[in-house]
Amino acid sequence: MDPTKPIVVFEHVSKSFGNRRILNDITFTLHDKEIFGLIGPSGAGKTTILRTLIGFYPSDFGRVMYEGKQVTDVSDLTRQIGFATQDECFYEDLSCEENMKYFGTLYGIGKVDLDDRIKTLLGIVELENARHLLGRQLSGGMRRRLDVAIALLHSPKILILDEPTSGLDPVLRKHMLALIERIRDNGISIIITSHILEELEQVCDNVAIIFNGRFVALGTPADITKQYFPYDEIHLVTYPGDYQRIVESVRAQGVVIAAVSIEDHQVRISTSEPERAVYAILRSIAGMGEHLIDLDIMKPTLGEVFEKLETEAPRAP
Amino acid sequence: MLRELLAATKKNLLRLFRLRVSAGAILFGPLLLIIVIGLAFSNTSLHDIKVGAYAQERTEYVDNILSKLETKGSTFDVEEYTTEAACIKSVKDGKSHICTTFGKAQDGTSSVSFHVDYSRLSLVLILISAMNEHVSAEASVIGADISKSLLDAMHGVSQYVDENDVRLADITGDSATMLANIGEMRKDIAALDMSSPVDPTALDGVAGQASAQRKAIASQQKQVNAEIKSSKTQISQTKAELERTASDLEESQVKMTQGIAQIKASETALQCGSVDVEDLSAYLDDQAGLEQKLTTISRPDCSVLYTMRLNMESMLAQSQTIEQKLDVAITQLDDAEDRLDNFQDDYDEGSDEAIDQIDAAEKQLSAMSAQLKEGNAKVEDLKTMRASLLQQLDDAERSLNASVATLGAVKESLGEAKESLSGVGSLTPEAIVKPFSTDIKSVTGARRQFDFLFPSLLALVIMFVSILAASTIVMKEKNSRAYFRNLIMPAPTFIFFTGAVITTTILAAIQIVVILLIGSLAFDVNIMLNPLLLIAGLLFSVWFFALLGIVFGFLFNSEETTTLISIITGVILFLFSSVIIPMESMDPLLASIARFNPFVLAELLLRNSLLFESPGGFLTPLLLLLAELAVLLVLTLWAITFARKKT
Repeated sequence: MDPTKPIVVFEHVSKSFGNRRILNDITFTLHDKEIFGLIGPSGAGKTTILRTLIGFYPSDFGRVMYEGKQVTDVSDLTRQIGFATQDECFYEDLSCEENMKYFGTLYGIGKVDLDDRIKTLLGIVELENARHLLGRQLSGGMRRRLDVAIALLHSPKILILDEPTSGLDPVLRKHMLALIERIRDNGISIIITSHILEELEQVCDNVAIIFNGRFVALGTPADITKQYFPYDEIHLVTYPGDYQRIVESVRAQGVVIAAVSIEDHQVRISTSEPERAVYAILRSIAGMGEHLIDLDIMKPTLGEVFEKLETEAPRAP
Repeated sequence: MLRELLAATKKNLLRLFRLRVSAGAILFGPLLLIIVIGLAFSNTSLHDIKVGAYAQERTEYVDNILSKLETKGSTFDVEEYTTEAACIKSVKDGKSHICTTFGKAQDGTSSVSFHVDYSRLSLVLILISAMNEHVSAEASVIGADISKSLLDAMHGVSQYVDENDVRLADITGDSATMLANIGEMRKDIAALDMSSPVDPTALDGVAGQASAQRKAIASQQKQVNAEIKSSKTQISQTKAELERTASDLEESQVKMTQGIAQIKASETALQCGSVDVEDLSAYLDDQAGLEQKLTTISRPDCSVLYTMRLNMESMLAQSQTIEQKLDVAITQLDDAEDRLDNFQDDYDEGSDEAIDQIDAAEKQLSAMSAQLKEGNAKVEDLKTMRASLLQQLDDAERSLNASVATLGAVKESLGEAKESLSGVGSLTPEAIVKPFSTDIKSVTGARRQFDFLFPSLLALVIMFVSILAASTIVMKEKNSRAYFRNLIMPAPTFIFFTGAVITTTILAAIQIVVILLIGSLAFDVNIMLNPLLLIAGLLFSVWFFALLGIVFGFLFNSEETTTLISIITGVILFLFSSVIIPMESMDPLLASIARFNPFVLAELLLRNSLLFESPGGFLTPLLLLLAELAVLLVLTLWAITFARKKT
């Protein structure tokens, strides 16, 4: 990601359908080669943001900037954006190649360039051997990859992926995430929405959490989790398990401990210095004659942040 | 742009042909249609028409007709019924196509009724036409006999006209004489002087003046009487005043006399000397007494009494003088009152007499005026009568003129009738019954049912294929997952519309080629009569119906609704044409609207292209109208797209 090079800036964008406000003062920046994640429950407004970005919905308020200039003609921006949705947007009764030729022609790509591009993209998405298969003959993962390939036909600078791993098995999900990173490595900025937050945490440079059309958190996954969960939790099981002494010994070694709870023969220590704490624990139990049975460092996840925010967020009317 | 259009069209065709059933229907549907219909309707004549017959009275005429029908090869199969109801029921039961009932002959005329099932209208028209042909042949024979009788009667009429021609000339002469007499009468009556010598309104003026004068005299009399009365009142008041004053004076005189007596008594009592000359003269010789007297007189108290008495006596004397004058004045007032009474009596008498005289004069004037008015009214009545008489004379003259003209016309008509009747003599009864022979001939070389059905069939196929194919393409597009991607493509929307139109054109073209080829090769349809017009008509029709299908596809969201609406629209357009029932039998308003029915336009274009060697100029307005309707649909599409973008 190049934080000095913003590609798209969304400034105070709002959008309503009838009396219902779907987006409320949305502001974010997509940088060059960035993977930006949008997290939110169904109906929170993720797809509306994406469709507003591609000009499918005009915004009621706010503005969209592309490479420092306000977008006035949406079609200019459309040419720079590839869009792959959770419902694959291609014809079931056309082959992979026919689909790509059709959409490539509508994008105005010349015949020779289009043939080359199709070959390259089918290689990237690993569908060279399926080029003559009809859309309806493809497996779930292949369909998703064909959709991404079509979205990349016109060499867009931005790729929008709406739930790209939804409905895929873990292996296919892993392949898809690898594909997304490969695309980013080719210089394309990506906006991605997903329900599987671990995946976003894994690939996204920045994420935004949206509830009821409003961003409630925006930043890197680490910053957001730190903001809502400042302590890591160490789970420790020893024998015979004199946990009080162990904790006192750790504290005596200058480790800041935020909270301690002992239950079910296990002690849970919350600390902002997990590495130092582990070192102190190991030293303490060695000196006390305790036998180490289990030691885990539990780092808070984006999923936990999302759950926390979801319980706190006001319900939509 | 062309590449994009081709890509859209290719995509549509690929999608349609990937479904084997669709491909089969596109190719074999029209093939089946044209073969079945071609084989079914490629004959030229009717056969096996079942005729039910019932006659109230068996006559030679009925037998002739029935026998002619039965001997007409295999066209008619006649079955007689004993009742009219049974005959009609045979039509309802489907045993007969038509029931013919022959009525009783009355006054030389016979009636024939055809009972038919109008739900099979096209068959009914053919049946009635065929039956009429036979019945009218028999009617001609009967008509010839009647015509002969008519001709004989007309010769008789001709002779009668000759006889009456002379009478008409006499009546015309008499009428001219009457016209001259009327003219003279009118002149005499118009010359009569009926002006009025005296104006009664002048007398009314004089009577008015007399009445005014009488009123003035009466008013003056009242005024004078009022003044006299006022004077008399004043005199009475003055007289009463004077009498009261006189009475007061008398009372004062009594009191003064009493006062004087009292003063004298006081003087006496005071021994005051008298100053009377007589008294003094008594003292002429008595100086002492005189001196004493004078001394007493010169006493102050006596002096006062004396002065008082003298004054009172003077006043008494004066009041007596005044009393006398008052008496005179009262007497004069009485006298004046009497004279006023006399004057009033004289004046009243004179005034009343004058008023009576004026009243009498006024009455006389009124009577004269009334008589004059009556006289004038009679003169006016005479004038009205004269005008009416003149009008009647004019009317009489006009009527006579009209009668003379009518007589002339009658005479002329009789002359013409005579001339016409003289021409009838050369006619035969057969020529009158059937003055010209009729023979229906086709304006084209075609005679088979199929030839006439073929353009309608072609138009029908074009309409349904175009509407359904176009709406299906649009619905398949809308329901496909790729629809969203198409919407966010930078390609303009018209690419998709035009792609759908081109695809539909190709599909329709395949079907049309199949139909035309089979029609030409297997059923001898001449498709090269107007090749350019045929192609133009086909293309315009396909484009219009394709656009209609696209509009339906965009308007409705469900495939079922779109298909249903497309079929309903097709059926409505089909029924509002002349293919089943002639448009001329529709309500005039609907018929005038139906003339703009695109199916009617398409069918007319194809009919003229396939059956007649039509000049291009005749069909150009139809093509233009179809093109205008297509432009209307394009605008509708644009409006739908624009409205959807807004929302």
